[in-house]
Amino acid sequence: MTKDKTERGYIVRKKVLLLTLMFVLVFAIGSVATAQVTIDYWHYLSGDNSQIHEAKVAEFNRLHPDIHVEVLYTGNQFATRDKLMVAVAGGQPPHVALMDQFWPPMMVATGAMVPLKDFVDTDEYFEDFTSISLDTVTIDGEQWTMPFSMSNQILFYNKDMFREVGLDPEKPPATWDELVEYGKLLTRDVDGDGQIDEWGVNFTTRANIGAVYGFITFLWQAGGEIYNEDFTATAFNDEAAVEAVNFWIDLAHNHKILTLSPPQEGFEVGRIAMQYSSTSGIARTAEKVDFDFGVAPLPAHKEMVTGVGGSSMGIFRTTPEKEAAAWTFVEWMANEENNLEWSMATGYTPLRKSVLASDEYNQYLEENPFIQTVIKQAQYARARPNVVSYADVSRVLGIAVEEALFANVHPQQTLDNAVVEANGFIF
Amino acid sequence: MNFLRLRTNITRTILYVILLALAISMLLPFAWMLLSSFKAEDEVFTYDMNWLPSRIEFSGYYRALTLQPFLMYGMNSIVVSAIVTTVQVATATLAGYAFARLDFPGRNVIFLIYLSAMMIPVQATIIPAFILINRMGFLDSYQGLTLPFLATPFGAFLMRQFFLSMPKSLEEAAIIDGCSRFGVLLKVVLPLSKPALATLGLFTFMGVWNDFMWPMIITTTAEMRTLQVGLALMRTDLYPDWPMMMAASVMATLPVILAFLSAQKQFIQSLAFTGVKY
Repeated sequence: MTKDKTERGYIVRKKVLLLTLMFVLVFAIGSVATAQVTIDYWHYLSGDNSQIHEAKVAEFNRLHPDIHVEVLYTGNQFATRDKLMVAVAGGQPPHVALMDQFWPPMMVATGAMVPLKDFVDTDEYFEDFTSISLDTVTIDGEQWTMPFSMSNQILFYNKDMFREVGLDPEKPPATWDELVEYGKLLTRDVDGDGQIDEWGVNFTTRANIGAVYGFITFLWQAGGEIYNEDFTATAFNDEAAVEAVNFWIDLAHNHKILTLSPPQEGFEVGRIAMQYSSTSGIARTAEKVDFDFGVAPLPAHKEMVTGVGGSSMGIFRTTPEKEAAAWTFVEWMANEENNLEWSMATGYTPLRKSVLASDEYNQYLEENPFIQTVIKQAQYARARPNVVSYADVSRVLGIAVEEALFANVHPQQTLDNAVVEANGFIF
Repeated sequence: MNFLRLRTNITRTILYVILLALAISMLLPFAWMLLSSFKAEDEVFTYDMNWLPSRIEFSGYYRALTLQPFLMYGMNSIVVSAIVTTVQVATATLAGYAFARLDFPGRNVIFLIYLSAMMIPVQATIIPAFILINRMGFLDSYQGLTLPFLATPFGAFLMRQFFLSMPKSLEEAAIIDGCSRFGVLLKVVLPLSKPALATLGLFTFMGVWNDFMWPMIITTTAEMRTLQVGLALMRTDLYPDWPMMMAASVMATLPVILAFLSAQKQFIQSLAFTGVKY
């Protein structure tokens, strides 16, 4: 009887022990699982770029079992910016977000972002980065976001159309004057019904903050500037700025080689001969069109300049643990190996000197003459000013240019007014 | 007499021609959307504009349905629109009736506050609303998607104006017969209010169905997105897949057209109503 009892007691104790062990085990596994840090990442890349990028995120997750990046495509730049602004204002930002080139100053001004010097000695870390890639992320001498991809404005042209009007397809226009000269030949009424069917040149003429970037390049080419030297006032009403606006007016209203209501995808269907575009679109356009496609540096005027576009990755202030995971993620995306891979897969300009100098990249350049043009032009690239007022200043500038172009307001007058208005946004 | 009749006929013909032209110009974008949804990708924009596809393609529809969880977006839109429409019509009816018929202290002041709330643009309230919903813990949920729209000043205003236009005597008769206030509303007023209810229901449904900004901001996972957000996500930077976008737009527009057609009779009647009364 008693023996029986002790035996049962023994069995019970054994069961208790087993259960305890199981609990310990479950908790141990559980704590390992919770040691994984999950971070939210928002981006706006689409099409092939999005697929390549999201595959890289998945690769990061595989290589870093302690971090899980939850990636979310949040629509194009404009949708993403609106969403990000509200999320930041509402105190609920993602841990990492992909940002268009002109957003960081605005975002930094909200106080929601972590400067990169919190994670790394930036002087040492960024030594390998090209100076233009750093220009896009440096605000008041500090790097706030991690450069991710970089593009430049570039000229696409239709070599078949050049041949049809007797132009040398290997000699794209190098200056504003040549742009006008070629444009006049290329603007044609093909079927003789009195309506222009094919236009010489096209670029975005709209005022919104992303698009005014197109005009700013013309402004720089004419020798003008948006701000004065110490950024205490705007300066886009001098002779150079007026010349740039007048050049647009001439193209549209005097030479009539630029239409203000261009046909949708006009370059791709052969109704536009020369299209100002982005280096990031070269591969996709080359694949889409069925004519002899050419890529050329932007026609220069007093200066040879092209604008920089692209994106960087920003880390938002959350908890030290999440911020550290976020840094690991953005740092990995821009490391040498991944920057090389991304540059060769997409045609974006490399961020790192070591990538530009690598054998693999030079091999890639040899196989891709279009990208050679891009890299040659890249030395003339300029980034938009990284100051908080840029968002408002460029909006005011864009509207002024639109007024001159669409409503025939006198350029000097509209720019003078705009400068006064824009100065109100500088503190 | 004949001359007069001729004149009215001519004016009428001119009027009809103008109306017809307007109707066609309103329909053209829809026609383009429908026709483009059946095109191959390289046929949407061509050297010369082509309205008709060279052959009917359903690939746009296939891509719209398979490249993203489009049906899930659709289900979310249906759930959100159904909840908001039902609840908003109910709250608007109760509030509108209270403003129209009940005598309570501060009624006119409260109604004035309602009216001024209508003047505030959505953009001004979107960040406070986001913060509020976030504090409630309703980000990325049906609660977050619906809560801000369950009661609106516009709905209360519309119903109040309608109730004011109804003869009081009907309700008084019911009350004398021993009917409660709520009974009056339910059994006497509401059966006569179908045009107003249909109008408000339709407005609300269309508003919620087409709303983009709020669902875009409040959702943080693909699972909670609505159709309009899904549509916007199709718009890529360089070469959007136009047939897919148009196919998705056709599918997203259909429920609204069906809702309009089903409420059309009541809707037009109520517009006529408002024309006479105010």
